Parts: sequence; structure tokens; C-alpha cells
Amino acid sequence: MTWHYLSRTVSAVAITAALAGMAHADYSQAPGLEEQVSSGSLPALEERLPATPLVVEAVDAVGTYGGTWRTAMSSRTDSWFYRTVNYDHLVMWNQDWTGVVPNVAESVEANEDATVFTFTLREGHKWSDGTPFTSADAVFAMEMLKDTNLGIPARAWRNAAGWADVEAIDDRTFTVTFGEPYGTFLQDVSRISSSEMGGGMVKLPKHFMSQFHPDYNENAEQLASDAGFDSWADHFNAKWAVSQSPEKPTLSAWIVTEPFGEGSQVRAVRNPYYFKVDTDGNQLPYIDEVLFNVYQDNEVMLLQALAGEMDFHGRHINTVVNRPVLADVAEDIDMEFLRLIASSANEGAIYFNQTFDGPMAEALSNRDFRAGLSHALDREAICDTVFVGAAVPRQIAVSPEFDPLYNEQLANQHLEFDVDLANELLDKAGFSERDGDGFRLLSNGDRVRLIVQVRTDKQDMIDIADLASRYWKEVGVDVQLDVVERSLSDQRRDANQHMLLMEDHSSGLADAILAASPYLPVDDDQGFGIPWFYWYAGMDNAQEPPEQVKRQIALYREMGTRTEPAEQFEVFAEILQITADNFFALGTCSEEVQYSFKLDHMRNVPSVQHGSFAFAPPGPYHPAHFWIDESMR
Amino acid sequence: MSAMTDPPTGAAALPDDVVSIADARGAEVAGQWRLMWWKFRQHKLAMASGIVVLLLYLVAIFAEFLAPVDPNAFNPRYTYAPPQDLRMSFVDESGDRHWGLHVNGYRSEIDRETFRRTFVLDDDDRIAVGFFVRSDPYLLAGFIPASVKLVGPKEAGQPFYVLGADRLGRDMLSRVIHGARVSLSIGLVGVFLSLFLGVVLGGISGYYGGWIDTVIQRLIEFIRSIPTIPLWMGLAAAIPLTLHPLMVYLIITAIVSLVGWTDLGREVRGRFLSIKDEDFVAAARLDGASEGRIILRHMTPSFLSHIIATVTLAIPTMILAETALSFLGIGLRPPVVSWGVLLQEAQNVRSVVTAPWLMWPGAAVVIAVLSFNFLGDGLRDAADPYAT
Amino acid sequence: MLQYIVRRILLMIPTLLLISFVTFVVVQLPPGDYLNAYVAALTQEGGETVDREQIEMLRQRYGLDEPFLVQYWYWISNIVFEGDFGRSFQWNQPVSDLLWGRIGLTFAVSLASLLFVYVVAFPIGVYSAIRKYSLGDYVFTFLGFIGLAVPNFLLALVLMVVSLQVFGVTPGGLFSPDYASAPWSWGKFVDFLAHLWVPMIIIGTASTAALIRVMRANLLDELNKPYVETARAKGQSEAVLIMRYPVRIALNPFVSRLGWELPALVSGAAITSIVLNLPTAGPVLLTALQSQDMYLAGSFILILSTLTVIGTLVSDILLAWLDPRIRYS
Repeated sequence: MTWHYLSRTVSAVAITAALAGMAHADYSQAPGLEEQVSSGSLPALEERLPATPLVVEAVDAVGTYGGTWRTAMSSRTDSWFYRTVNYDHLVMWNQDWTGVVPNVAESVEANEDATVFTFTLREGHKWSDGTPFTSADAVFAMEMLKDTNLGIPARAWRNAAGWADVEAIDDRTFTVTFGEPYGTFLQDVSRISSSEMGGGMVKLPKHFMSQFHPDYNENAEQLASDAGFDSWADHFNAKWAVSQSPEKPTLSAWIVTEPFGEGSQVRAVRNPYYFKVDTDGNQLPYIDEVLFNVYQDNEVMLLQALAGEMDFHGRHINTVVNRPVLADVAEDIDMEFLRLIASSANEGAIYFNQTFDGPMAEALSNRDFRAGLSHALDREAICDTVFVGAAVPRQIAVSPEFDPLYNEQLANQHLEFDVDLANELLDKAGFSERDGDGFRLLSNGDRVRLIVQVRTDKQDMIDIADLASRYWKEVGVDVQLDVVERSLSDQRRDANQHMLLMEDHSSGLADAILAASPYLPVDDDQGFGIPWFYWYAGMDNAQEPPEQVKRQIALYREMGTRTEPAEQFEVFAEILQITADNFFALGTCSEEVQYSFKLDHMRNVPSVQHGSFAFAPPGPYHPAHFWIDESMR
Repeated sequence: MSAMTDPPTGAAALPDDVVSIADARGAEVAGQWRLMWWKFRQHKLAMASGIVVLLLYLVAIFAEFLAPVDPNAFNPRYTYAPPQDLRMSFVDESGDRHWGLHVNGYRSEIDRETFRRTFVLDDDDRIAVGFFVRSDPYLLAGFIPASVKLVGPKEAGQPFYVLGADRLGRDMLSRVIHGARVSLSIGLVGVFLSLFLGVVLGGISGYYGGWIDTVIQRLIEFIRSIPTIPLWMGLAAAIPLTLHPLMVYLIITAIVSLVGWTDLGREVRGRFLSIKDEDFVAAARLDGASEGRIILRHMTPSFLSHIIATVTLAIPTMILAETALSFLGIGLRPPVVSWGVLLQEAQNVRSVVTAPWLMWPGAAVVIAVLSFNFLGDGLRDAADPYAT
Repeated sequence: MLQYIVRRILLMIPTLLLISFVTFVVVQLPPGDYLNAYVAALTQEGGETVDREQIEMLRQRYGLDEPFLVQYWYWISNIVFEGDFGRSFQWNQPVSDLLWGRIGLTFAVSLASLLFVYVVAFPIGVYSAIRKYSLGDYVFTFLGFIGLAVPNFLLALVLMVVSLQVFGVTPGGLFSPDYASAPWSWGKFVDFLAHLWVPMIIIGTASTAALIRVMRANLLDELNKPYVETARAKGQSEAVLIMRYPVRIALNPFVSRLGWELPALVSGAAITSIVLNLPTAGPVLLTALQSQDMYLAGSFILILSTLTVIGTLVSDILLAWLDPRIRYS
């Protein structure tokens, strides 16, 4: 796979050119809307669509209107909800994940040093209540993102130099300015971004949300307490939360009518103002409504799928463990599996805390020790046991599928199962003395004893850790598993109390540069150098990292000044080489195949998709153009 | 508890009609315990259950000897392997019957489409099974060095899964056997903790009455008013993580019994209340016996049998509580194996549909709970030896 | 009697206050707070970490950095003085919005289970006492114990899988999709009843055995009392004889358990509700506890506890009415 990227200007020129011959009269709409228009309750389609609608090219065929897409979700912040009915950001990933293309915005242009991004909106683009969507909404949205009273997660909109500055040039044009270069800004905006705020700019309609903010409405506090909230900010957040606020206008294909929290369902129905059309000029979406059954327990959710009552689903239950069960009924319920190209830096990354405070530090910081432990693992056996052929042995690395960043050494060093070599390396590391039970000793006479912190929510990881510990005991290293609930695991990690930490990571394809923490300490979801991350981020409890890590951080900052992905990858490859040399963490298995599933009558869903969190399928495949083929029921 | 070995035989402790029954039997006065035993023997189901309970504890004690393999030994080649039938003989091609205990080996392959191993039992591949086979050395019951297993493949390392294998290719039989140890002891330890609290507080409450009774009754009411699940969850979440799994086990036991003692407390109190005004207590009091003596020598023995019955009935509650805690993910942690842990691992559609043998621990729980209940029931009936 | 009731009601107040305090302690026992759980959830869902500074801001705004007693006072004073149960962080809603509907359904399910338990346990208990050691005694007791012995969660899952494989329907939930979000109507009620029996039986089976045993033991105790013999000697018919006094007295513990039975059922229902995906308090309470949504969890527990305390009081009063021998001095 080669990564050819968009030019500096992301533009919809090609698409609009293709549409040049299509007059407004050529557009058509869903039958239900047709009736509303003729009865006068809805403006004509031409007034609802922007002047230049986004034209979606069908995966299979131009579809027909109607039907319900039955699926499921589990919590208010469930990303599946955002990927399916709410992936309408200013820009979006293109479908082969080779770059970013315009979506809500008609075009975007970056300046030379990646500090100023100029967005142009579509003329006549409207919110789902008919109010025009303009630059003023973007300016308002940025104000809200910055408002610390609200605490809206919006990482993409700030970098090392602070929050972005959004300025309206005219109704349709605005600029986003950063104090420092931010080369990956457009990629970050294309992500789901902490769920609630995917595409921050496009989910805060000023005309609606401003009434809840005291800067705009002096009665906002009163409004909040009338509605039973303690503060205006709570009220604002409840009104803004996409899955919970049926009143809030949207730009997405479906409007939430039954919000999360009231019953056991979330329902979203067609937005008559949606800005996308198919190649025949039919306004999207095709599907009338999306129905999410809310489940607390994934097993019951699985039963819904097994009953053939889930048209298309790609989260929670599409696990290796469930595959045989689904496969057994697939024929009966006309279900097919879709292949997800896995981005899996590792399913069981084991980090050795390099800043650990205690006698074990001497072992953890010794590269031979880590290499020895790595050779002690029979990864073939581990991966086969836990993933039954769906995963392969690999260190924490970018997949060979992704040329620009693949590093042979990073992926395959110290990978072979060799107990003799393991023992030799552990001896060489200085732990050749053993106690009566055959366990190796530290220089102070204590037993070499690893405490591995694993999360309760990841059975795969617990199993891997369980199996790994048996191999390590074979080479004289004692192991204890600490299986901890996730938020607690995070807290202990943040306080740098862990010794060994297990995590799983995507970051195995193009997303490596966006979620780079497995490779260098630029974020907190790694376990080798939390205080180093604090140093990088200028936070408290920091420790200065060693030279080679500082070099990585410097390179990472340099990468941020590049706007061309090809150049970004070049710099990042250098970072990865240092990661390979450091070998602060070892990997176990990397998932090769992931899947989602759909019923046969669900059309236009690509049978091969990119599977990364950052890519957030099926969002980039335009769920609005999925349709239900009644003839195949 | 010394009263158990030193039963009161004096007529002072027994109501009049007992004495008359005893008289009818001759000069010898049958003690309460003997009466109870006579009575208990009539209850066939309880007798049988008592034997089952005894066997269960033997299994728990000699788990290492009885389990064919290490319960945590995994094997990638046998993930979700179905149970093998234990066969006594086979017939070869020429039609001759050969005797010898054996199981059939598996033929298996990975199905790349469904991500699973498919198994076929291979009739031609016979794995000889023997008794008292050699094994790696281990410590029986934790302190007796041994290196022999009751049953297993004659050639070590051959697949031997009479109850099937779990998702990591671990032997279910061995896991169920080892699970018995934790599950059955959690019941015992928990019940004794409960018993201690229940008898002390319930006794004080029932004997003294008045404001002490009120306070203790409010305490019981208070504990029972809080739904147990959040109470468990809160307490379990507060267990420090760096503790050894065994310590975690003890703490969880304590948590369960902390909630569980209230039943016993009420039972004891009720008994105290009901006999405090009985004639024999009044007689002892008039005799000038001290309060301590009245409680220990006269009152407690009179309902000790009831307490034993109640305790027996409380054990299954503890066993079930452990499974519930495991279901909630706040119970014991690997590598500790308990029935609750095993059931939690089986609590998914995959297991129910494609590997029903993973539910065997459920059968173990049912058997244990049933036998404890019947045993307790029998004891309870027997505790009223004067009843017809 | 009246004096007794008044005294008990007065005693409820300190009990409830204590419960509220302990509840709040228990809810807060696990280390960390809601925001830790929130960050973990966002990281999980978005595959991206959350800004630390922002989290600290939120912590201040939610008052999570306040001392424990301040938080407790804030919570309890709002409940007592304003009837305001605070706000659920996790659901982004006032707690009372979430609370009442679910509490209602919880009690509907629990009471249905209670009814099931009593209806099944009473006749079986009486039968096994009268026909002690008969085949019927063994069979019924055995069945009752099987219900007790099978863990609810397993039973629920197996029943659902079987129902899917045999009937092709998933019996989860309390309503069909058509009625799930519809307002209450006769149709919805019927639909509700049609779904209710599954959880009712699963939750009920767990307690049936205990009550059968209690009924049987108590009745046996009574049947051996001299007055029964006397009545029998007087030539009263067996049925009348048994129903008139012994059964009535043996009913005492039945009634006194009523108050206790409820929290046990709610707890039992919590686990079953999770597996069956019921829109009751259990699953919400569980996730609230897991994500340390303290006001939601605390309020839920407080309400359930309060109702239990009231239930106990009611059953004690019933008991006093049933058995005048019980003295209240």
C-alpha cells in the first residue's frame, strides 16, 4: 500500500465539476419528505440542499429510500454511535485512508508552515432546523471549546502553543490559527476525537446553544435550574450531548429523536436538510431511521445479532471469541462478514517502567533483561491459544502492510522462542544468582519479581499475561498479575506506580503518527515513561528523559511542522528506529484480521474496511448512502 | 464450641417429656446428641447428602492428587476441546475386543474462516489411561510431597480431557476439582466468621433485651437494608491491589460474612427470646446459677443443634455469593480457581452454544448447594428430636 | 400498638441517616472518582487520550476535589431540604429523572417475583410439612433447591440462548421494541406482563427454596405442639385443624421475612437484570458504582434502603397483628 496524500489544498473542485451539469431540478428526495413539501410543512428540496452538495459515489449501487437500520450501543459515549450517525466533521478520511477530503467544509487550505487553516463552507448549507450554517457557528463553537466551565473534550483544537484561534472572514470562510505549526491538524480533526466532540466545529449550532450560555443569555442560569440542573454548564452540556439532546439541530444524516437515557433505545431519523446526494442526485440518507438498542451486557447484544435483528454492526461483539457463534448462524440469517484491515501495533504490549522507583528498577532498565524475557515467550503458542489464528507474533510495531513506517527490526527483534538464549541474556544482565525455588535474584538479594498490571476489561490481555507469566517462571523470573479495573489502572499508571503495564494499541498503520505513544512518550497511554511524558508536556512530577528519548521528542516536534504526510512519515521513521534500539517494551501478538458483520440486504457497505480507532469505520464510508434492499430480505 | 463434645445429659436442660421418652428406653438416659443422631438417620436424603458433602471436602483436600493435571496448564492445541469418553475397551479391525481403559485422541485443525479449532475424536488414536500414574512432584494438601495422580494418561502430556477443555486448552476436570477447594472453604471460613458475629451479637441481643437489643436489632436492620451488591462492590473495590491473591480471597470471605451474619444473629436472638422464659432457665436462675453459666450451660446447648443446622444452610449461600461476586468481576482473580471464577468464564454465549461442557462447574455448585441444604434440613429436623 | 408504631417510625430516622452516610462512604470507597472513569471511557471509545488540564477543571466544577464531608453534606442536605438528588455525571441528567421510572420497574419485577415465591412456597411448604418424607416432599423440596442452587446469571443466559434456539426470539428486556419508548397504555401493560414472567421466575426461584424450608420447619414445630393433639383428640377435621392455628402461626416468619425478602430480591434482580437487559435499577446502579457516579449510586441505594426499612416496619406491624403473643414493651 502506498500512501499518496492530498495536496496542500483539500478541495472539492473535482466533485463539483462532475456535478456541473446537474441542475437543481435534477435532485430528488425521500417520499416522506416529498409529502411534507407538498403539504407545506417543509421547504422545497432546492432550498434545503446547499448549492454544492457533496456527491457520494456508491459502493455497490444507487439505492432506494426507506427502512430501519437496526444496531446497538452500550453507553452515552459509545463511539459506534458517533461513527455511524455522527461522523460528519469539517473534513474526513478518504475511503482508502490515504488522506483527508472535504466533508461539511467545501474546501480547506493550509498555509506553508501549517499554522493557519482556511475553511470554506458550502453555500446555503443549513442545520436540520433550516437555520443557515455559517462561520459564526464556527467562531461560537471555538469559544465554547475554550470555555473551561464546560470542559468539552476537544484535543484536536489545541496544540503545544494553546487553543486555536478561529476567525470569520465572511459567512462562508473562516480561519483556524495556531501559535505553533500543527502539521497533523486535519488528520486529527478527521478522527472521532474523544467521542463526544468529533468535529467540534459542527456540533454547536450557535442559534440554539447560545441560549444556554450566560454570555449570550442572562437567564441561562435560571433556565438551568428550571430544568433541574445545578448550573448552566451542566445544562449546556446536557443540551449539547449529541446522543441526549433531541432538540439540538444537527448537520448529520439522522436526527436523534429518542435520546439516550430515557428508554432502552436510541432512535435517529432522517435529517431533511442533509447535504449529501448520490450520483443520481437523490438526497441522502436512504435509510429512514437508525435504531440503537441499548445494552449493558454484550452477551445480550450478541443474542440480538444471532437472532438476525442487527442489520450492520461493527463493535462490542465482533470479537474473535464470538466469531464461531456468528459463523454458525450466518447462513440461516443471511449474514456476511466484512473484513477489517487491522491496525494493531499490539494486542498485548508489555511496558517496562523505565522510571520505576524501587529495587526492581535495576532489572527493568536493563535491555538484556527485557530481551531475555522476550525470548522466553513462545508467542506462536500464546497467539494461537488466545486468538486462534487471528493474530501473529510481533513486537510493538507498525504493520508490514504499511510501507512508509514499517521497521523490520522494530517488528521482529527478539521475537524467537529460545529458552537457552533467554537464560543467557538474563544471566548476562546480572541476574544469574538464584534462590532455593530457582528464582533469579537482584543484586540486593531480593527475588526478581515482576508485577504486571492488566485491565479487567480485556480478557485477551489477561490471558496473554497469564500465559506469559508461566513462561517467565520457567526462566526463573517470578511474576504476579494485578488485574485492575480500567480507571484504576490508569490512575496507578498516572501516578507512576506500575512496574509492568499491559496495554493494547492500534497505531499499526497510518495512525501511528497520530497515536504515537507506544513509540515515544508523547502521551499517557503507555507504561515505559510516564514522567517523561510529563516532561514533554511541561506538567508536574516530570523527569528528564535520557538523550535518545529527548532526540525522539525533538524529532516529533519537527514532524509537527511538516504538512505533507510523506515528510511526516520520513521523520517518524527515524523516531521508530530509536524506539527499536531502546526496546523499552515488548509485544506479544498483533491482530491480523478483524471483522464486522452485516445482513445481506444492507447494501453499499464495503466488504473490506480499515479497522482503526482513528479511522473509525464505517464513518468514512458515508453511512448516509447505506441502504436496505427490500428485494433481498 | 466445647459444648459440642460435652453434651449436657442432665434432665435440668431438657423439658419433661424428653425425660419420659428416655425413661421408656430403660435406665440409660439418651443424650440430646444421640437422640439427634437417631432422628437424623431416618432422614435418608440427609444421610446421603452428608456423605456427598464429606466426599466434596475430600476432593477439595486431595485436589492435587485427584486432578489429572495442573489446572492452569494451557495448551494451544486443545482450546475448546470437547470432552473425551472414558472407554473400557475397543474393537479392532479384525473384530477382536481389547480391554483397557483409554480415551480417544483428537484430530483438529484451525478453521481460518470462523477462527476456531474443530475437533474430531479419532477412534484409531487411543490414549491409554491408568490409575496412580507418575507426575511431576507436588505437595499434596499443601505439605505432603507426592508425585502420583489418581488417574491420567499413562504417557504424560497426552491429551486427557474427560470434561473437555476451556478457551485456553486447560483441563476442566482439573479446574473443577481445584475450584472445589476455594469454593468449599470460602463457605466454611465465611460461615464461621458469620457464626462468631451472629452468636455473640444475637445472643447478647436476645438475652439482655432492652436497649442493647434495640441497638443490635437496628444494626442488623441497617446492614440488611443496604442492598448487598453495592455493599460488596464498594468493599471489594477497596481491597488493595498488591495483595497476594490468597489475602484477597480471605478479605472477600470476610466481606461476604460481614453481610451474612445477620441471618444467624436473628436466629440466635429468636432462640434466646423464646427460651429465656422457659421453666428450665427460670429453674437454673432460681438455683442461683450465674448468667454466664445460664447462657453457656443451659441455654446455648438447648439450641446448639439449631445453630448447626442453620450454619449448614448458610454455607451454600456463601458458595453462591462467591459466584455472584465473580460474575460482577469483583471476586477472586486468576490464577486462583474457584467455581465462581469458572462460571464467570463460562458466562457467555460462546460457551453456552459451542462449549456447554464449560458449565460443569455449575453442576458442581448445584451438587454442593443441594447436599448442604439437604444435610442442613436433616440436621434441622433432627434438632427437634422429640418431634415425631 | 400505636405507641409501638410511632416509636419504630422515630427510630427509622437515625437508621436512615446512618444508611445515607454509610452508603456514601461505600460508594466512594474505591480509589479515584468519576472523572477517572470518564477519562478511561473516553480513551476506550475514542482511542485517544483526554487533556489533563481540562479534567482538573471539571473536577473542580463537579466539586470532586472537595473533602468527603462537604460532598456528603451537599448531597444529603439537597435531598432533605429540596428533594434534589443531585446529578448523574455519567448520564448527564438529574438523578431524579433516572430514578423513579427505574425504581418503579424494579419494584414491579421484585414484587412479581415475591408473589411468585409466596404462591409457590406456601402450598409446597404446607404440603411437605404434613406429608413429611413422602415422595412429594422430596420432589418439591428438590425442585425448590435446584432453583436456589443454580446461579441466577447462568440460568438467565442459558434460558435466553435456549429461547433463541428453540423459539427464535430473544426474551431480554421488559418490553417489545414497539413499546419500549411508548407511554403507558393497556397494550404496553400486556406487553410488559408478557415479558415479566422470565425475570420473575429466574429471580423467584432463588428464594423459593428458603421459604419452603421456613414454612415447612415452622409448621412442623407447631404440629408437634400439645394444642394440636388436643384439637385432634376433640375430633376436629385435619384440614381445619391445620389451617386454623398451626398454619397461621407458622406464617409469622413468612410475614416477618417480607421486609427482608425485598432487598434480597433487588440484589438478586440486579444480576439477573444485567443479563436480561432489563431497564431496572440494578444495571444502572452497577454501572454507576463502576464509574463512580456517586450521586446516582448513592441516591439509588438510599432509596432502595429506605423502601426496605419501610417494608420491614410494615412486616413487623403485620406480624404484631398476626401474633398477639409477640410483646412490644
